[in-house]
Amino acid sequence: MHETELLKKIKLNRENALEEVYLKHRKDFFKYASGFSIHQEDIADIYQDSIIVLYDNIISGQLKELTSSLKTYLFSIGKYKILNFIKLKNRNQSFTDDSLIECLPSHDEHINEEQISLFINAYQLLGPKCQKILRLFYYEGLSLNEIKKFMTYSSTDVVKSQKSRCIKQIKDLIKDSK
Amino acid sequence: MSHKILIDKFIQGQLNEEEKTIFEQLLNDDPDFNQEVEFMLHLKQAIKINEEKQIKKHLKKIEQKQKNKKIWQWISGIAASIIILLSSIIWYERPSKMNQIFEEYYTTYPNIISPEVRSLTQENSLTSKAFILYDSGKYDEASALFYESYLMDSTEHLLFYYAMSLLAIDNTEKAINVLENHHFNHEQRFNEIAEWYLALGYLKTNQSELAKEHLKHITSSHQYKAKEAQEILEKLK
Repeated sequence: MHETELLKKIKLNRENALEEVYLKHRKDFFKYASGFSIHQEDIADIYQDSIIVLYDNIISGQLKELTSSLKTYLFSIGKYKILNFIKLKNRNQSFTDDSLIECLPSHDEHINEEQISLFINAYQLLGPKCQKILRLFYYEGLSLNEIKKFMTYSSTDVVKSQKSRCIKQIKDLIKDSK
Repeated sequence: MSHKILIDKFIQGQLNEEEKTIFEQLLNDDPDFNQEVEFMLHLKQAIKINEEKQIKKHLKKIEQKQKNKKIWQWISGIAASIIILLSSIIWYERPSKMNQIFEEYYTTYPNIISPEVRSLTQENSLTSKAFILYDSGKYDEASALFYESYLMDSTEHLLFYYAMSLLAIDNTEKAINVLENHHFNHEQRFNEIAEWYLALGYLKTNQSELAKEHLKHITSSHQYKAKEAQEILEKLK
């Protein structure tokens, strides 16, 4: 498959596209990472996190066009994660999974953990429609027009008002939980 | 532009230079605006973390499936080799018996074409060369020439002798394939003969059910070698 086509697929159907990428390069990645003498389970973890970074970079628009192959790009993320993993492991022998999660890009930024978990809980309490519309807008960065097409709304105005309602809901939920 | 739209554009990274200036100013001067931006950034971050967790869960499931598949492949691999081992022990007797029958009944079909061809003009020297090789027992080379000349003029008996050559050099599977897939429309007499050799081919490759099927047909319709077919059926019982 053409790789820019794959990028399109990722934007359209996340689960299927990610599974395809995951399985396509899995064997090679495990072989590659085994060279650093890392446990199979840790390799799987690192590989999964690398796929997530790849996905984040695609939807955030950071990765618009590939200058190299998707595999090369994915492996360069993986390599960074492997080296990070080894560094952490050497620093702290009683290494736990939590420190790996800190390698995720979302943890790089300075955030108020407590505050965020409040938001996460509220988000999870929203109905599926609200979750979807907010996800598409805030995480996948789709325009109102794209969301209209994606969720088959009649107009962007409907999307806009639906989104406002969802924002109001989550604000209320957060207020209640405080 | 409303504050709402301005914040939305900021969240999606779509502010132009002019809007950026306005945005920064509002951020400094308007506490409500500032609070709203902070809220949206938190929301964005929360959704991101939540989604990443979802993806991670999904990928872990895929990984588990792969592992299970591997284990299953391993188990079924072992199971398959045990079955093959057992069946080869059980069937050891029968194949040798069928092979014996094959050896007993198989003779290379004689060249009944070439004399006629020779009496004609040497219009196709490739064909006559093939028959000369066939007559002198050089079946390997003959098979190649029969095939080639069949491709050139599609005379059916060339295909028949191609199959006969293949049988003679123990390329039985291929011979079966040719005989099974071809009906001789123009030279009908070859159909009966072909079926006899097909049955022999199945015996050679230990496919007793298929061999029996053809032998029964040969016997019941009193075809070429009907008597021999009957004998073999008796032996296979």
